[in-house]
Amino acid sequence: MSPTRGIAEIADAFRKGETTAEAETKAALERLERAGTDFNAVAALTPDTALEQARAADTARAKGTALGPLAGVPLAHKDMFYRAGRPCHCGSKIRAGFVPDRTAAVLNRLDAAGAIDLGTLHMAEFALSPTGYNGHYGHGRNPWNPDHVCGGSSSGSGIVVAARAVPAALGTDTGGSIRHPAAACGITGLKPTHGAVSVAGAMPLSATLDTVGPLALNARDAARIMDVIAGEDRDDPSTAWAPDRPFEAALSGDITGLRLARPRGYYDEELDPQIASALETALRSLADLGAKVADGGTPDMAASNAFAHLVVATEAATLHRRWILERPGDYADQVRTRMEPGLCYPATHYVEALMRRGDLAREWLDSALGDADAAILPAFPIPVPSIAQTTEGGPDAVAKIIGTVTRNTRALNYLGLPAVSIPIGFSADGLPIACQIVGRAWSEPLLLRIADAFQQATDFHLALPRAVAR
Amino acid sequence: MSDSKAPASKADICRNHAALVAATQETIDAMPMLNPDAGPHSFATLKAASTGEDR
Repeated sequence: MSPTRGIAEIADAFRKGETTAEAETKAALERLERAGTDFNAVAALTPDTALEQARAADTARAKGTALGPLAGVPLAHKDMFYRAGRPCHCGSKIRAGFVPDRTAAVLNRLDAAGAIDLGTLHMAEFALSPTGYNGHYGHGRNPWNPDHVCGGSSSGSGIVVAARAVPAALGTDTGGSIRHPAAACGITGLKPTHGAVSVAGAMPLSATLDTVGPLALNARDAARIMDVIAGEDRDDPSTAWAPDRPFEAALSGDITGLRLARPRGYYDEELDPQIASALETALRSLADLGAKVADGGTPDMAASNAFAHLVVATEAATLHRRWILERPGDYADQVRTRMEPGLCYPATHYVEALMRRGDLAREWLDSALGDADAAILPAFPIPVPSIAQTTEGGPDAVAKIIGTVTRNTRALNYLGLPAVSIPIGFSADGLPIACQIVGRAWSEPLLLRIADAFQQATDFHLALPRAVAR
Repeated sequence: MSDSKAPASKADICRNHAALVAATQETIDAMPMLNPDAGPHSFATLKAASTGEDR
């Protein structure tokens, strides 16, 4: 049973009777145990309920019951999606022992599609670290090199997919928390348009910026997950505008004539030559596939970055105010200090951030894309840093490297736009390099089509970390 | 930075973050004046007007 199979292959094999859900689940549980030990990727596995789900799927198939698109596929998810009766710690000490009484909308949809839920995955404390740092439960470790960051805050989700323990996992993205682990671990991660996927039943960090999306081995698997989880949900009013559209069916493999922009200015600043070189090579590959690639404009990111910080700090501080004031020592300093400024901004500036959001999104699209269909941006501007680089040197040094790691991701959450992170190469020290494909609101099917076409022509997404291959 | 184990006061917290808060507000205040007809639903309007189709 090869661990490198994606969702489509496992689901197809299950449907044809070439494998059973129970066998897939047992094998995935073993791989997750190993990923937990080797890379600190797991919060808590739930083998009893997973095997119960799997046996029910096998029974359903034996009876000829109609099977969902994820029937028999074992998955596990970031530890901030509630499931009634199952502990959900959100990577924190403060919420240790919390047991929700409801189940997240996305987990309900995955259940209905036949997916098997194997348990919860490690994450940054309250989803507030781009590196995978967790002061209470230890760093997530990158399967490509455990001395380097795995990216966060959906750290376990990135690790277990890169380690081929499960073919996909859900994460959340408020400033890059799906794209960071996808980029650092060399897999595909989709941050949807704000409101494309329900966040109901996921612990909020910043309701204005929070998004839920898949981390997967490839764009096709991400699309299949999106077909299941995207769309309007009465429990999340932000999804009221979500159009009904197919994702996997949009993957035609053809990007002939699509116009792709490479925005300059801000996105060239602090850009490491290795990342720039991989980006140029990826753009040439896309041009070879028939896309029309041209330089985009030079968007001014100062206001969007300022508002992104202000909104997440203010909304997180609003939710955490009592704990910040009464239990400050129960947060890691690196986490608490990212929320604390939110206690200090005037309401007028917060409301201004909301009022300007649509206009700034239009301005960014006009500048970065112009008439193009999508923009290609670097994900991290630097090679994946070591854990030491992101934790040593004092608070100012840590703040600086976190600012660098997130400089190309965080404003997109304020702008509310969709972005796919895909691997496009490797740095000299053997760690993945990634780009983001960014588009207009609701353009996820188009972005995934571009990513899929690129992956049909390249093999970066197929590379296995040495620690996994042996 | 105050002792992170003891209960905190908002005044101390804002004193610790004064430089970042001031820099953020300066950036915002440097923008052109907000349109007096602006409303809180500008992003919802953008989403309602978008289809996600190719250009």
